[in-house]
Amino acid sequence: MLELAARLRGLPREQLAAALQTREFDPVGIRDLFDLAEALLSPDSVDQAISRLDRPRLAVLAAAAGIVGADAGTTADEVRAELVRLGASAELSDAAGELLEALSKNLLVVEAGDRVHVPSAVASRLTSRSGHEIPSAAELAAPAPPVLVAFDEIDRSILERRAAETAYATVAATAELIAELGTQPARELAKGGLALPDSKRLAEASGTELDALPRLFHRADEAGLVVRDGAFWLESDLGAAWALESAAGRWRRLAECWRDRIPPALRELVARRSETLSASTFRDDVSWFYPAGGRWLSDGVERLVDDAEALGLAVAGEPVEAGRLVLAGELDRAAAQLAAHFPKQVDRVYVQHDLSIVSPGPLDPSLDARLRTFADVEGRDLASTYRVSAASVNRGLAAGESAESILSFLGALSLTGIPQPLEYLVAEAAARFGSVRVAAADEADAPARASIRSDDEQLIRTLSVDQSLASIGLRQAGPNRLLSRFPAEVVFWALSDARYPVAAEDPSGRIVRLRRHRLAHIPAPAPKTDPIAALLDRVLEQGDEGATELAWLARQLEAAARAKETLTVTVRMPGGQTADYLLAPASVANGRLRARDRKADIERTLPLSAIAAVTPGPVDG
Amino acid sequence: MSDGPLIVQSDRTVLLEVAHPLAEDARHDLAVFAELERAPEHVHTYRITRLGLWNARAAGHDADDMLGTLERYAKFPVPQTVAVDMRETVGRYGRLIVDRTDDGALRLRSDDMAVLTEVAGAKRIAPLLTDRIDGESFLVAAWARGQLKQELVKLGWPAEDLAGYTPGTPHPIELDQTEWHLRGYQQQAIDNFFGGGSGVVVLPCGAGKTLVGAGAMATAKTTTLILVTNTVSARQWRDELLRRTSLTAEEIGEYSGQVKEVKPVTIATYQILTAKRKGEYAHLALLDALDWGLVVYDEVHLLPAPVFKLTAELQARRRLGLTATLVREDGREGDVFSLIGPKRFDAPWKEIEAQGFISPAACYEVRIDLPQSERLVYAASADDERYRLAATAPAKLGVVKELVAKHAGERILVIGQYLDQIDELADALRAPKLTGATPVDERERLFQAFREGTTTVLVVSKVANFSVDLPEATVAIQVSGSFGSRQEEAQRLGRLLRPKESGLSANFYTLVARDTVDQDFAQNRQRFLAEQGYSYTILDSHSLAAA
Repeated sequence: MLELAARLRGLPREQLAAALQTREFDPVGIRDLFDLAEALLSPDSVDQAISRLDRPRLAVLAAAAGIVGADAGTTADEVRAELVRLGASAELSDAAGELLEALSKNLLVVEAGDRVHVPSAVASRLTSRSGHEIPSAAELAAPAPPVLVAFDEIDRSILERRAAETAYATVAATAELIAELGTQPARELAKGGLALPDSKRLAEASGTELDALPRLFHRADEAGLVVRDGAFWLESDLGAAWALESAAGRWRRLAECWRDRIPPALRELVARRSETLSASTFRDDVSWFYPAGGRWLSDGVERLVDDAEALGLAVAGEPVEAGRLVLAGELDRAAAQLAAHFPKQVDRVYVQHDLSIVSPGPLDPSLDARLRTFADVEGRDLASTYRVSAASVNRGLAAGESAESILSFLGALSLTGIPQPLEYLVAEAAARFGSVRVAAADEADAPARASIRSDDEQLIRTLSVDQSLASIGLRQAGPNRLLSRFPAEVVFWALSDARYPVAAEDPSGRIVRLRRHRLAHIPAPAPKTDPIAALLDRVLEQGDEGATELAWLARQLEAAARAKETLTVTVRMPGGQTADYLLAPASVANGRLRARDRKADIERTLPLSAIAAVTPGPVDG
Repeated sequence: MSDGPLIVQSDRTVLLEVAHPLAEDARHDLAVFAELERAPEHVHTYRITRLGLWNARAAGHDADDMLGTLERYAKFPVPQTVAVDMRETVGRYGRLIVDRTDDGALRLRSDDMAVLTEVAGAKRIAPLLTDRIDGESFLVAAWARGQLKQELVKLGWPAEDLAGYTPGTPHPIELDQTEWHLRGYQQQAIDNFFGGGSGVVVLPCGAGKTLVGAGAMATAKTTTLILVTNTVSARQWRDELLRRTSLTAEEIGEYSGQVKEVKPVTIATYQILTAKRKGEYAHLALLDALDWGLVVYDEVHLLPAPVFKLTAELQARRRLGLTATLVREDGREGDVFSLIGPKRFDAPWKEIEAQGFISPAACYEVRIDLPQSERLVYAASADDERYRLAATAPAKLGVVKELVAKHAGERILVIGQYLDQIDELADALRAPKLTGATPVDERERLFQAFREGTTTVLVVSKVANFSVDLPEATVAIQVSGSFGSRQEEAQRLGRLLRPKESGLSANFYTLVARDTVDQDFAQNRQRFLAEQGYSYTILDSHSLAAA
């Protein structure tokens, strides 16, 4: 523990903070670096750190811990030699130095110059688990077993088709999720997760089961396609651009993000195996690669495998060709291969008399995006159905379309012309659009919050008596004006639902597009305090160096006394020489150390100022 | 993968691009196991249902055949989930059999112990099984055949029904085709019906469903009970049977509120069957009065709920349901299929029109602006008053007059929902009116005068929604209706679809008050017809002259 404490003390703050980020430990009650070292050496903390070690690192740690007398420190060369003795490959033994450095960054070993010290707490945890919970040092050092090449008669083309189908469905579902967020944001709860009504809406829009929505959402988040603004999730700029790409391009982005989550060494391992189907599974590979893996691993692996399945990279846990290509970094080839099975895009639609529009296949994304500005999506699958209504046309008009632009676009898109009812609907909606305007009321109209105006006095009178609008309490304020105490958005939607040709306008009279639900202006959550930074503020010493050194010495001795450790204490003698005593500290008080001399078996009392150095004594045999 | 006319979707719908060169072939093969859901002009939608798959299986088609059809005509690869599901579903058919023991008792049997145990233990099925015969079979309550099959379908284990039909008392019936012939689709419908045993035939209004009934009777050659919606309809059936078959007046009886005749062919109203006296169904005995070999349900979409239960007891007899619009606002279409039988024949309206067997019809929605005074009254009224206010808007009267004038000389039906509106229209147009209060004989007289042309305009209430044979009506003006009823809309259009000797095509106008609930309901009402390929041209009332 003392070596670790000294190591912690010697690290620059940034490095120490980075190292602590890789560890789990209980920060409660930690007052100084000794307490911190103790916490890092607790069984739970050591187990947690070990569980995250990949096989090469664990092999090196086990080799170092197994070296006899290593408690007093060993060297990288000795560790290397031990690895060779255990049967490690040249690759592994050559990498011993690098791997020890990595372990040092994890605070599992202490490097000082060319000495490497494995804290006894770490060594004893490894030893107690070795051979049953964790493979033995020899097993860890052994090279990877050869890949079993099983002869199988599975028709790979069925797997490839299934993979492509799943991949396409995932891409389509993600696109619908983002489109729906673009129409209406989703609220994040304070405790985490989306609000249930929003979850249901997004699940329905994306054609996903409710319990599968979180994974779909997280994939989109990890790919940067959605972004959080305050308490609300929105489509991001990246998401908007992604939505306009081809299906292959969209898939590529998702696959790339998946790949980036996998450690490079593991990618290679899995890529090796996926030359053919084999007897073991991806999960077994991961378990081999992280032999001490715990809950974090199984959760992480489950997510990786689920995502791989969803992206068509694996079927029933086994990678398929696209998966192999992705793991090998050949994303473009993987995309091209999968996309060969994707349904072909279409760029024309059927426009029908019942105001429905059917695309006989996935519609070109840019055409689909434009169509959605003035038509509602009714069905999403290989073929999509849209429906035009007065409300959807009004939405398009508010977004800047005109009757001419809508009909011109549809005319070019339609395989069958434009039916009269649709033409009539668009023309009527455009002619009437904005004949009632809603805006925020002026301050002078307070307490009214919304103002409604129309050039048509009769329309104003009708609005004022309309029973279906009673809830928004309209009162007439002139022949062409009404006021309401409700906000403009509320009034807008009430009028729209009551079938009035209403448009929202800004103070300058320009028509603005309102979404059904506004973003609530909830402040972003306050940045959380970094617990590591707070801890370091507590434990790192400030002030005069001389006093600090003495205090450090005292703390080391107190810690040794608490831990009942034996130290080799170097004492300055009169005349300038030094002498080493093997002491078991009992207490430190008033600048003096009281300790049991192990060799002479007597009690000694020494002034702290006479102590030149302390080092760990030999561990009792 | 072909660039075919079908798009198979993961939700089990199949879209058919009508303009594709292979569309006809695809439709023919697809209809074996998929149900036509809607048929607007360019893209038809079929749905693969469990019941459809099982019926196809019962008819001898296996999963490979059906999947082969999809793969042959599909534009994109058939989703694997659909393929897997179809195989699994088809595989469930035939594990259970309903048949008879040697002494004629009804039996449920299976050689799949797991399935038999599962169904025998199901809460809704156990009470229908009276005794265990042996390890592989149970006795079924004699009355429970229909209900058992229905419950088994719900449980996902359809039974193959080999229990046969009571042949009924033989009775000679022939079609008299000296001056006419059954059309191809009518014969197809009859063949499909007999091939399936029992079921429903769906044909557009005016396509000759009565003749399909007559043809079925001539094939079965047995005593027949025909259930109809009202007395006028009963008389029309009688007249048609006399005209088209070898049956004589002595062989056909009417069983209604007015007359109680039981003859080898008996035509009864649904109403009389469900009439109760002192809490009991007073005329239930009719169902057992003769050993009926065939029961025909006319306008089966109107089957009253109590008749569902009564029908369950007719399971041993062949049952033929006839309708143009199997759409119920109470959603009980599934019950019709379960208790009468599945759809055996269904033809898109436009297809029959294209063959020339029903008249083309142009549909118009005339939007009428409410004058400001009426608009204010409408706006100020409560929700439950609004439909009536909009539907009976006085502004509609002028439009009716204009349309009647425009089609002067043609046979015009003016149809309304509200009696005071009907009175007003009849007065304004100086035309006779026909409502539920009009005696049956007077109704027949008015219809006859209309057929002959001595009366050219009739103002009618919903009594004329169905089963009225008015072949020369070429114009219908619907002023108001039963809220959003799709079936009513279709039935009203149906009054116009008989082919015209005059050569005039039909025009159907529906008058709608703009920006009111009348317009919202109209949209719903038009859905069925839109899904049959009919298009409503929207007109403004002030520009009718130019239309």
